[in-house]
Order: sequence, then C-alpha cells, then structure tokens
Amino acid sequence: MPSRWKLMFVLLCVLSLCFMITVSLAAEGRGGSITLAMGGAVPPSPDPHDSRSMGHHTVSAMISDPLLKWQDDDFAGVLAKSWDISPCGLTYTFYLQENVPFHNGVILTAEAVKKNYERITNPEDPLPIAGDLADIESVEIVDDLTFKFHLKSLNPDFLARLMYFWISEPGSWENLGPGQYVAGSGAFRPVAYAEDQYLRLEKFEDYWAQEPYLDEITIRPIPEADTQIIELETGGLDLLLYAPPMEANRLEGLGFNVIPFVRVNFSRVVFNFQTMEELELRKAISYAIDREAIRDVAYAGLGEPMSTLGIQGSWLYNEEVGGYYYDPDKANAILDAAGWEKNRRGIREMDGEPIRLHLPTRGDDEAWLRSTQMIQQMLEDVGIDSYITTADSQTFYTQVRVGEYDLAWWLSNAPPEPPIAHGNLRSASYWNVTQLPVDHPLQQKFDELDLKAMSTVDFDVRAQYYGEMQQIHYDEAVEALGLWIEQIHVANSALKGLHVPPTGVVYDAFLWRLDQ
Amino acid sequence: MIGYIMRRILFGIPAILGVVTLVFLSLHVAPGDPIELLIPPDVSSSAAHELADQLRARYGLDRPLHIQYFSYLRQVASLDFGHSIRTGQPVANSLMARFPATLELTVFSLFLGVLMGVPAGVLAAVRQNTLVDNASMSFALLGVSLPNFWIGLLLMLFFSLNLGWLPPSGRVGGFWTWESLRHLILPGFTLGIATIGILARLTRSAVLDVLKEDYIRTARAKGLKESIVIYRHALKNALIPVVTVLGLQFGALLAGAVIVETIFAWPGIGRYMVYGITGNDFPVVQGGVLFIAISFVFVNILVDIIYLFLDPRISYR
Repeated sequence: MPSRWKLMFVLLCVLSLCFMITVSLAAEGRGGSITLAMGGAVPPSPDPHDSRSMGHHTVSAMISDPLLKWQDDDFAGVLAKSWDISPCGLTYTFYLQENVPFHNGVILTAEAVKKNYERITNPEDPLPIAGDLADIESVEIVDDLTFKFHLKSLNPDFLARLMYFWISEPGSWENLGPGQYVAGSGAFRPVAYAEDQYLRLEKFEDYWAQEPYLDEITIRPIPEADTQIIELETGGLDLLLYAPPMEANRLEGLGFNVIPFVRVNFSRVVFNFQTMEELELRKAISYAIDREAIRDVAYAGLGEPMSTLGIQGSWLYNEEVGGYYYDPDKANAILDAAGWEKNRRGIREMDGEPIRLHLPTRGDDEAWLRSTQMIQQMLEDVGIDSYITTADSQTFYTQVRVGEYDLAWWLSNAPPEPPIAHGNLRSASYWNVTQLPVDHPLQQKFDELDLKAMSTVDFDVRAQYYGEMQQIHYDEAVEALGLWIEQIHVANSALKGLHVPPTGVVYDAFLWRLDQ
Repeated sequence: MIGYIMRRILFGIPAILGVVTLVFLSLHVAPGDPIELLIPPDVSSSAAHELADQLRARYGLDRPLHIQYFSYLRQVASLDFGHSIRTGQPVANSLMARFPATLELTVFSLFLGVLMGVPAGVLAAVRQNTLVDNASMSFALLGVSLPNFWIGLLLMLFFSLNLGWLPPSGRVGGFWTWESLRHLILPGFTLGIATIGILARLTRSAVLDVLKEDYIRTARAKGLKESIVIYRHALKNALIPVVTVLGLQFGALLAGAVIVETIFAWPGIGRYMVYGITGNDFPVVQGGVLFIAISFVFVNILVDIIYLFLDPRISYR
C-alpha cells in the first residue's frame, strides 16, 4: 500500500474514533453549559459560607457539600458517611467519607470541619449560618476522619441544622487573592465572579461522588420577576429558581418543565393576642377563610390547605386534631352566639362598638398582598370590618413582631425538621408573633410542652407532646392555619436530571445534563 | 474666575451635609430592623436573641442616634461610608466597583437625549405647527409622561421576546464592543427617553425664542443660507439653557437608574441601592444617596463653569 494511502487510513481511523467518542459523550449527555438565575435581595456569592437564602444554598451545593442532606423524608449522609448519637443526645459523632478532594487538591479531614465551624461562628464576625450552629459547645477531633459535636443542651432536631453547613478547605479562604475563590468539595468550582453580574462555575473533574455531566454553569442574579420570565422565554436562561408561581401554568403550556415542591413555606393568619383575646372571634375568623380560593387565586393553585401544625405523615402529625375549614355559616353562627351583632352597615359590633381590625401586609409581594385582600373580603362577608396597610417586607415583619397589628397573613419557612411549633410558639422564639406574655397560661403551657418535647430523643414521646400542642393550638384557635405553599423551579425542557427535594435546595447538580 | 468656581464649590458643601443628615435621619427613623435579616428564620433557640444583640453591637446600632450620626459624619469626611450590614464589604469599594456601570448607562442615556432630543426640538421649531412639529412634541410628551419601568418592560417584550434582536437584561463588561452596546441599548433608551422628551421641548422653545431675535433677522438679511442661520447663529444661543438642563438631567438619570438597573439587571449603583433599601442596609443606602448627591453637585458645578464660557454675560463676581 502506498504510504499516502496508509496515512489516509490512519487519519480516517483517528477521525472515526473522535466521532465515536463525541457520539458516546453526547449520548451520555456529557458536556454543555447552562445559565440559571434567581431573584432575591442579595446575589449569590462564590463563598458557600456566605449563603443567605434557599437559592444561595442551591449554588453553595454546587460548590461545596454539607455533612448531610434531607432526602426521601429522612437525613442522608453527604460528606458524613455515617453518624452516631450518644444515648444522652448531647454528643454527635460523625464519620467522614474517605479521599474527598477539595478544589485545590487538599483532602477533607475532621480538622477542616472544625475550622469551618470556627470560621462561621467567630463571635467577632459571625457568618449568616452561625445561628444554625449555635447549639454546638465544642468540636472534638477523634481521628483524621472522625469528629464529635458536643452540644450545649439537648436538641433532638440538631441534624436539621447541619443541612446547610457547607464545608470548604480552610487554607483556601485564608489568603484569597484576586481571581481566587474558596475551595469547596462540590461538583463545580468557581472560575469567574462579578458581583451582581454572574458567577461562573466549571466542572470539577475530580469530584468524589461522580463526574458531573455539565461543563459549566453560570449563575445570574436577576431581581425583577418579569425580566426573569422574559430571559427564560428568550433562551437566555435554562433554569429559573423560585420562579413567580403565577407564571406556572403559562410556562408549562409553552413547553417548559415546571417543577413544584411543597413544604418550604407555610402560611396562616396570625393573631395578636393583645387585641384579639376573644376566642370566639378567632374561631369565627378561622372558619371564614377560604383557603382553597386563596391558593387558586393568589398562588396559581400551587399549594395544599393546612389543617394542623404537623406535616401530614410526619412523626409528629396528630390525626386526632380537627381542622378549621371554610364555613361562613358556622363563622356567622359563632359570632351571633358570642353577641357580635350586625349594625345597619352589616358590620358586627359589641356594645355599640363596631369591629375594625388592622390587617397589615407586604406591598412588595403580589401573592401576599392578594391573599390579604381576599381575607379582607372574606372577613367582610361575615361582618368583620378591617383595613389594610402595606409596607415593604422588613417593615412589615417588624410591625408584626412588635405587635402593631390585629391579624396578618404570615408565611414562615418550614424545613422538614424541626417541628413548626418549636419554631413559632415558644416564648423564646424570635419568630413567635402571638404577643402572648411569657406568664400567660397559654404561653406557659406551650413552653412547658416544648421543653418536655426537646428534653428527650425518643420521637414517640416527642410526638405526644407536640400532638398536645397541636390540640391546644386548635382548641384556642391560636392561628388560622392557611396553606402549605408550593414553590416552583422552571427549567428549559432540554435540561434533564433535575431532582428537587421538598426544601427546594437542589443538591445534585452533578446529575444535570443537556439533551443533545 | 477662580473665586467664582471656589464659591460654587463651597455652596455645594452645605447641600451635601443636608443630604447626609436627611438620609441618615429618614433611614434610622423608618420602621424595620436590619438585624432581622441576618437571623435565620428557622433558628432554633434563644441564640437568635443573642446573635441579634451581637450584631447590633457590631454595627453600632445599639448606640444613641446622635452618637451614630456624629460617628457617621466623621466616617464620611474620611470617605469611609461604612460596611454593608449584609455582605460586610466596605460600601465605598462596592460603590466604586459599580460606578462604571452606572456612569456608562447614564452617559449613554444623556448622549441619546442630546442626539435625539436636540435635533427633534430644532426640527419642531423650524417646522413650527406642521405635522413634524406635532409628531415630535407628541413623542416628547409621551417620553416625559410614561413611567420608565413600563417602557422598559414593553421594549423588552418587543425587541427581545418578539423580535429577538436585543438581549433583555445584563451587562457585558468592556466599553463599546458590539456585544456591550447591544446590552446597553434597551436600558439606555428606557432611561433616556424622558431626557429626549425634555430636551426636545426645551430646544424647541429656545430655538423659537432665538429665531425672533434681531440678529437672526440680520443674518437672514445678509443672505446667509437658512441652515447656517439655524445651526451657527440660532442653535448656539438656544443651547445655553439646554446645557443647564443637561446638568439637572444628569442627576435625574442617576436617580432613575435605580429603577432601570433593577428591571434590566444592570449591575450599577441603582441596583445596589435597591438591595440596600429592601434589606434595610443603612450604610448601603446612605452611601449610595451620598455618592449620587456628590456626583450631582459636582456635575452642576461643572455646568456652571461651562456656562461661563458659553455665556460671557455671566459675571464672575
């Protein structure tokens, strides 16, 4: 064979090989880059310890890994291979995965976890997730891959605090120069960052779990909801985290993959016990609210009406507790029986004093505002007059926290653990907005039950105490429970492998791939 | 002349001091607690209270208001605008990092304003009471009246979603490349449309006034071409009030950037301030407003100086 033909043959073989490799990679969905965006008040940072919201946590989960995550209704280890809890419940021993490399090549050790804890909880400069680690008294290193958290006091829900405890390599944050980033152990590593503009991540070939499919992910902060949607529709975005729910149906109709997830937020009408001390009034309002209408109109049908403080099916759910359902006749009957009579204007009054309630709301959240307007109408239908005042989010939160309200539509974060009652009904809770004095019998009862529930690691016993709290919550109509609100992520139909857990924080970006 | 310039600069100082005081007071008296933002909503125990107290002490928010005020004045005098409560970054650095984006947007909008507003005004004046005049003035009226967040979204829908010609949002770094210009067109036009309208109306009335002057009649009597009469004699004099308005418009554009930058995800000072406002991040809002106020005062001093050259009738005294 002439040498020219030999050369041609070799070239042909090489080209065929390249073609086959390309085809096989494409078939696997390897390669490609995507752009994702999120709203929110602060753009995400390349430092996972700077994570301030659920959206940020999803970005942090690409760069770094936590010790554990919430998956299939239970905790699953990520960097922690396993863990033990001492019988007294005050010591948690974690066993780390072996040979987990950070982006700078350093291998994960227990010492690194300790230094991460110290950085986050530094009293001079506490980082945003410092509150989650506040129960830890000390960290004890047992060996290279084993360490213990010693708690200050019993916290049976401690594991839930570790879901967003992102571990990065301590040496990498000490001498950060321009263009250098904190080294995590995640599937993607930051390569470019312009605050307010973009954060570009590149595939980390040595990711310990498996090789990521995508080559590159760009994260863009886009504050305006309408702009986010237009970017998505024009192809400027492949994934929009926490998209406006009102757009869900339309976007689905356009072929986008709308992924709902529930139980991140729950809503209810909170009552100020300083001005709403009459039980019958609170009960009547609880019956007057049409939760399904609010869900359908304000939240585009994304949500489930809520009947008790326990998540249905969870370990603390008390199925014996009744719920308040929409029944305006019952609401009217309760008010009539309690002596609230309607005047000529149809407004109920007691001793000639017409009822008029202050219903503050957020003006910067369309669904929140619309829900409040609907509640005002529902109250009017049973003869309760109210007036709405609007404010920006922080002003509104402060207003409600300090008691400048009678009743208000209120959304809270509800991670799968710990129980909602612990977060919202204890007198010591920062987010208890009932305005009940600490020495009020009802508040004392809640505190007593919560203390008992938190003083044991036996979940059956805890369920009993929290069940009792749910019963009192219902009997006393402490709040008019509203909805488990679903939120949505919206993805381009070409993006596959997106698994969204109930918290909305997506941990496994290494599984995302593009249909090619 | 130097005395005149110095006087202008000195007059600017009380204006800046007034802005500092007003902004400081209005933000601190407003309801809302910035520290709440830093407390995780699901934080478990009384650690939240402890954390809140720590953070308050750290940012000096536990001190009496007047102490905070004088401390802030001292900082401002040394060009230290404090640190952002949320990010912990120095506000002055963050403002300087974002200033090029805002300046780019503002200058481009002002450029559009001059490029489109002045010729439209001249054309309307020269063709007074014709279709051209009515069309120009109707466009100018719309530009001044329509809110820019609405115009912005409409432009985005039309040019990005329907036609696919321009990107809906974001900024590409690097001045004046084709890609950066494509990203600049929609926010620039949205921000500048009011300036186009204002300049068109002002130029029209100024040119109409000048055209009635004796020297214009003289120029025409000398047999000069109409274009020379308009552009060399009439427009030069008509532009004096326009330059004054340009200075004022620069301030309006900086303020308008707050909304436009948010809509178009433009990473400038306006958007940074919105983060500060929604998050009750006092140092960011104070720093941002102060930065804009100083820029505004500086530009107006500059306009006053330019005025000296354009209109020799102005006395230096």
